[in-house]
Amino acid sequence: MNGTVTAVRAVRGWPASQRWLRLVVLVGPLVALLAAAAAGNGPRPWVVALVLGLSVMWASAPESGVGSLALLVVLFWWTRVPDDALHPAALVAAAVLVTAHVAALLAATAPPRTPVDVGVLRLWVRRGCAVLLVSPVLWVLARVLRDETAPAGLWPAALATALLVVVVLALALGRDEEVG
Amino acid sequence: MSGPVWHPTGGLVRAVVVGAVGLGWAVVGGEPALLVLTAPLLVAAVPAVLRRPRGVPSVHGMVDRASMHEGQSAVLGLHVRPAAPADVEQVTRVVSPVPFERATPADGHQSVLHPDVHRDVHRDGEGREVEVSPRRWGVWTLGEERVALTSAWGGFRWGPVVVPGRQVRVHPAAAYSSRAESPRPRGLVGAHRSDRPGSGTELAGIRSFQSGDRLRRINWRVSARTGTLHVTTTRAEQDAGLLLVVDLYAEHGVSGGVDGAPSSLDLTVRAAAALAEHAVRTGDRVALRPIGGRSRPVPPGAGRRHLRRVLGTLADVRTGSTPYDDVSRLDLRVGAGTTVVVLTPLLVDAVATTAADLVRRGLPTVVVDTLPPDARPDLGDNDAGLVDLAWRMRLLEREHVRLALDAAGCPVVTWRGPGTVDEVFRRLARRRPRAGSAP
Repeated sequence: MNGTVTAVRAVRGWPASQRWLRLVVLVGPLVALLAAAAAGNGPRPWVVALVLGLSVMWASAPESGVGSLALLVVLFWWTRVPDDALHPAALVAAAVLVTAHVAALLAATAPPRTPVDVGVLRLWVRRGCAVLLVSPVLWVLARVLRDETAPAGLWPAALATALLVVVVLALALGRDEEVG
Repeated sequence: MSGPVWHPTGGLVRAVVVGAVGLGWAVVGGEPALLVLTAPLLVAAVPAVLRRPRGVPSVHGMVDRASMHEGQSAVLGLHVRPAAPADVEQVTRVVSPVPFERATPADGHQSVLHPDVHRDVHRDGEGREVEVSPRRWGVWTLGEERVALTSAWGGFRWGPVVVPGRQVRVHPAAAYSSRAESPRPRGLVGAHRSDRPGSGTELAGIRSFQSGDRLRRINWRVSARTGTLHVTTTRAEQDAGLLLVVDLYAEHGVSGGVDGAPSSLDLTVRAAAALAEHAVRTGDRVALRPIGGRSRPVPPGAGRRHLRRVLGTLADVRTGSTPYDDVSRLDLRVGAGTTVVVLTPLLVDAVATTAADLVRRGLPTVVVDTLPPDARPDLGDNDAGLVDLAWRMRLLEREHVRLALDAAGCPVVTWRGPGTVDEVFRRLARRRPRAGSAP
């Protein structure tokens, strides 16, 4: 009980920007998980509880590896969506996952009592939006190709192409992001 | 010797792990949705990895002041020199807390883009500089901070490292103005009206012309009326000496800094600083004699440099427990024309004895009472009722000492800021020196 009170007092001492960041970290994986329901596979209560627990830990320690676990559980649940899961809700899930990841990354750069700098926030909003563009492109591509019969070697070729695209995009974005 | 190195951040590890697992699972398991979900994380991880910093940066901090007054602010500069310009993207600073220090912004917590560290004002007009403001006099180490650097795309972090601060002497606030004249000026030249004739501007009288009088002193109007030559005489203008005796036996009350409630030591030090600054401004000589604590006396002197020495000594005083007997053997070396101001909470009888002794020697002496009205003793593990009773008895004894000093001709005034000693000094100036008083 005392621990909870202490934690609440500590959180009250944080600036509003830090509280918002951690709220996004907390809510992101849950929304991504619940989006699977719209795609046809509603999460079981224990999965929701598991993701919620992991998200709470992730929000309190954004630098820790718990965040990876939370995201992997969400991915696991998305593999159980019937058919190929290429429902528009997948785009929503991708968006909230990236948002939670960026929020955790920002929250981890400084102690909790540090307000988030506007310049830093703007930079990461731009970056988040840029990397998120990959998702709709892949989603459209996957939907176009899903009715085609996969010829031998299509998936390895797709993997190589995807990696190539990732590197090219990353290099392009990296050059673009000379801050200052 | 191994210093801090760049290590991957949790964000980068998460992006790589989740991105790679998602990509592999999508390909192996034929789950294109996973590719949609995790590709953005992978895209974010690649530039972070590609722009991994290799060199070791150097970080230096600085404080733009070596001395300051309590309540003033000093800017904490930070110079970050990365091995390659693009190595550092974000700089995070956390100023180490120091007692009686206020750091801005956000208690000294700041995390900004690297170019913004060297900017005074952000592009949006928002303040950028980290400032610290000591709220109490003393010698403090200001500007110690922990600094962490983050590389491009939040991929790698260096530090946090501790950037050492700088020892800064924080002088007591000394706002004081007074127009009271010194009781017994006895120097060469100065601003105080003397009781002996000289070449000042204050009218002393008109008398008959004597051999040696200057012709320009002749008062022609009186001379024409009386038929004999008369001259106008004036009083000399002289400087005076001020000896500040500060009682450092103990500190009573709790200091709240320059904005809060003062302790007895706060009042003593601030009052001494204010009186010293006022005296120096009017051209008088000031000496400082701490008793009972750990501090060095400052011999008489005048001028701004001497004032800095006095203020620096006051900033460094510490209370201590010198045996009271030492006070009785104390040689204050007070010369003629010196006014003595004893700043004390009047809880050590030996200090009152010293003041009474000075008065007996014919020296103009004023006791400034620096016990805050809300001062309470530290209870410790003792019975609160007992301590309260003892404290009340001590206060009664103290009141008796105050009355005794007053009766002996040593005025006791409670420090209440500017103008505290004006009336007392005027009264002392009107008194005539006793016969057989100190030379």
